[in-house]
Amino acid sequence: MASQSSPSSPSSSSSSSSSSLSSSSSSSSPPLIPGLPNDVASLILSLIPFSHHARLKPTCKSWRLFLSSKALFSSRQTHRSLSHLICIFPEDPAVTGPYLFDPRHLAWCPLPPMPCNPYVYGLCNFTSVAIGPHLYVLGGSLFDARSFPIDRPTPSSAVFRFDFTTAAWEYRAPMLTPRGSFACAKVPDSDQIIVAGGGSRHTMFSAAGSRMSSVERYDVCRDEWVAMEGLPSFRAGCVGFFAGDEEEREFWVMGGYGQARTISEVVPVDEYYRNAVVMELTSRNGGGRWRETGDMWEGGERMRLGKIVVVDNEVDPAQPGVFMLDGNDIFRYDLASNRWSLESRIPRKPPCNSSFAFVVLEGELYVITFWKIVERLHKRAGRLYIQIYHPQQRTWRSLLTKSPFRYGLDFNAAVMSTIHL
Amino acid sequence: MSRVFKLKSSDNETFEVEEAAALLSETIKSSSSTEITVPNVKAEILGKVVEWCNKHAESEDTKDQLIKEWDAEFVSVDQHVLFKLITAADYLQIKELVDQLTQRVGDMIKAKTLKTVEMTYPTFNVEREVQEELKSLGF
Repeated sequence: MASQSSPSSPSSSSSSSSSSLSSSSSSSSPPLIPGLPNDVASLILSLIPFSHHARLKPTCKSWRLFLSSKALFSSRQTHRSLSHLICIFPEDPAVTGPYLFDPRHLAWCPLPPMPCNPYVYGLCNFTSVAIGPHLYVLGGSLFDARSFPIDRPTPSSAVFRFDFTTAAWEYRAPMLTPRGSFACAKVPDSDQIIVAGGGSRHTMFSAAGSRMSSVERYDVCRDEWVAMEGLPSFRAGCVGFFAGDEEEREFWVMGGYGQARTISEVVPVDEYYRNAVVMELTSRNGGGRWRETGDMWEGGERMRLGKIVVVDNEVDPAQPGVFMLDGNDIFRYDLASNRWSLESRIPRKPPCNSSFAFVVLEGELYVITFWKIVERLHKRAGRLYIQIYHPQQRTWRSLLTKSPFRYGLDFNAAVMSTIHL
Repeated sequence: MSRVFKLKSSDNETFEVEEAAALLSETIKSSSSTEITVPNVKAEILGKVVEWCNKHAESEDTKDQLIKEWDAEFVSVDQHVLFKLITAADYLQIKELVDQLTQRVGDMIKAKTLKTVEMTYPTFNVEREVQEELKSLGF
């Protein structure tokens, strides 16, 4: 790369060139890239992947302002140059902030931890969903030092949002009913979030905890929660997703546990649901009624649903790809027949029996696990082995990356989500 | 019977372009006359733009590997030639050419570490900006 000085200045004042992008007057502000009109320069900078932004921001003030602006996100959205990132919450977000991972460039970006409320600790079983350049953290189960007895977890209704333009956490309106382990989904083509069911179970205790059936909807612009018709029965630990297009949209809530029974009146055991409930969203405001599907599997085939992810189907929105990771197998759900069928097997199971994280990114299924855990104090916890499945081509590929986490993390408890920046 | 457009560069050199190639440019499309003067663009650069237009006009139906390879070679030029090409393509509003050139600049930026970014764009003068900021904070 020749390190010549930039071309002579008279040629750069051709910002009189008409362009469909709005051009800022290059006379008042310094040029983003000397030698090019500002609208072309902003187009160039908005095409650069997100993982390079941190390195480029210190170049100069105008770059830093541009790369942290709201206009950048909408420009990237228009030009379809958004970076698709996985967001991992290793533990209580007030202790360790989430990590962004870019699989294309194998780049990690730690985010600041959430604001810390000194009375509560051990937040887990929350959900995380991204809308535009904002990452939402909703609810969860935590311990409150002000409560009595101290060792009973309580559900949280707090909602936080991380704004990537200001790189800071914000408080948003809390949910109407506090909950953890609930079904959560972003309403397609709309800045709204629906949450359903939930309970107060904490990862520290694998039993106990309440269950609830209420359903709420959050409007991002108005920052308010509205109650909707509740589920037919109490359900916690369930998964929610949307199917269908604008005319016929359905919100599915699948699986979870409801009643509990005790074995010999001592050991509590969950009664897992084998079905799903579906709400038809017909009108703009509301929900409709809930209908229940039949059992998805016969008794004995499995006890409960594994981790579920949903791939949006652009061609046919009524048939999203619903996949479940159960042990070492991936199953696909057929909405019409209400049945699970074996899709594929995970090619390699790492030597140590660590848990899998299951997340969907750019239409592919990512199965993440630790390759080798090195139990040494203050040392990084080995590497992450990522196996990626393409549902259409039915092929697997894999990636290996260094793990940025200080200690090994339990993927069963870690919260995963994806964000496009 | 296709019209022939005449493009005039800033140093008074004229290029004759067939209609199919010329209409790749939105500016020429919306212009009333067949003689267009392109200000601030020298003959050498305008010649390259015309070459790109001709190449893309003749192979409109076959967007295959050969064209991609030709395009990749076309944009791998020196930085200041690249910038002049962008300015010209931006004036003439040839969307695909602008896209290819901006993608190339983006790739060049990505391939650099912070130090070499400073070296290539020396007019940024990071040191001075830091001094100004410190002054504004009262040091």
